[in-house]
Amino acid sequence: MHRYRIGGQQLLKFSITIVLTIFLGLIKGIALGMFITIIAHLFSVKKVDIILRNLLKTNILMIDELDGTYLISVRYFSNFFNFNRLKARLDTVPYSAKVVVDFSLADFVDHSTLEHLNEYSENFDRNGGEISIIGIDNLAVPTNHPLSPMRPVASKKVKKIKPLTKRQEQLKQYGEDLGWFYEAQEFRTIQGFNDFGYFRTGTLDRGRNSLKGSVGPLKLRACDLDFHEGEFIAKEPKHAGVVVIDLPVEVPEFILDKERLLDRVGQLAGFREVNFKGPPDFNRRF
Amino acid sequence: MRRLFDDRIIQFFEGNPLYHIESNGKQLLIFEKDRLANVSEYKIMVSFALRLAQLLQQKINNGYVGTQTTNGPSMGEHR
Repeated sequence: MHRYRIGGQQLLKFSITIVLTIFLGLIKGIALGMFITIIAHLFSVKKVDIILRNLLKTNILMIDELDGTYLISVRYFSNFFNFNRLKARLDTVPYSAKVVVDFSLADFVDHSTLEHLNEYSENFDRNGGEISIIGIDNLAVPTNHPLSPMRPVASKKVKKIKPLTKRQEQLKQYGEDLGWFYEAQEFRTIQGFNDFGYFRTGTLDRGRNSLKGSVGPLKLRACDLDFHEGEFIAKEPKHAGVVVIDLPVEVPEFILDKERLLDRVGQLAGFREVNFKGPPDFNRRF
Repeated sequence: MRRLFDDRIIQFFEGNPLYHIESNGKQLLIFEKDRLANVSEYKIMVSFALRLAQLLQQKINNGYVGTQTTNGPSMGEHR
């Protein structure tokens, strides 16, 4: 029943492996079961070319974000073929750390990856750490089970109304706690998107997971944004989690960020640094 | 700029985590990292944005004069 809830295909593969093991013996049964799983997997994903082309490529990048968080970014796909690479990275992180596993650059995540991450997550929770998964809210699922494989949206055997992921459930709950309105649904257009310097060279693909609230006349919304820079072979997908405040009055255009070396170069290009008299800490930080 | 960034606003930025904050004249954009945020990061960022919005509202109530914006449907309301 557990396999069926994850997906009919999982139950079928499991049943075939059991039957083959009974009739052919343990070694042959498991070997044939693995072979059938691989073939079924290649056909069910409908992205065989992506799997075959990227099977041997490095698809994991781990970054220490220097604030106690490790980001593990997964590219192309993650399934039982290449989970050992993700596992190798996870094993280098202490269980007391915070880890963000980002699938936003992946086309497909299978249920065995999610099942293993679930086990890792329990170990991290027990030791004061945390694993959070981001970037799977846009992938469709064939069943309502939380460990159901995440397929490309183009795949036919997916639920049109997909259940919320754990992250989406938590965002919805947070919205309710704030008295804000949560909407998982995608949106395609954003007013003022390209007016922000950060997005000026980008093209918005979609946004989702909007949390909307207000403070008097000021409207606030937090949301996920998918955008890209460049086109064709130079196209680079990007993602951001942002909060936008709509103001009832006009304010000057500005960018407030950590002062970096390139900002000096920006000043040569015509950007103007504004220093304030009095607060040395503020002038040093920004 | 200096009228907007008064002592209270500057103290607020000094006493809070660093975010990338950007104004396009009518909206403020706040984010931290070049990736999607997880739930706990969203909670901290939204709490920061709420307190900043409260400060700005007080500033507007106390007579900060800017041009009235004519924002149409905002982010997320277009489909």
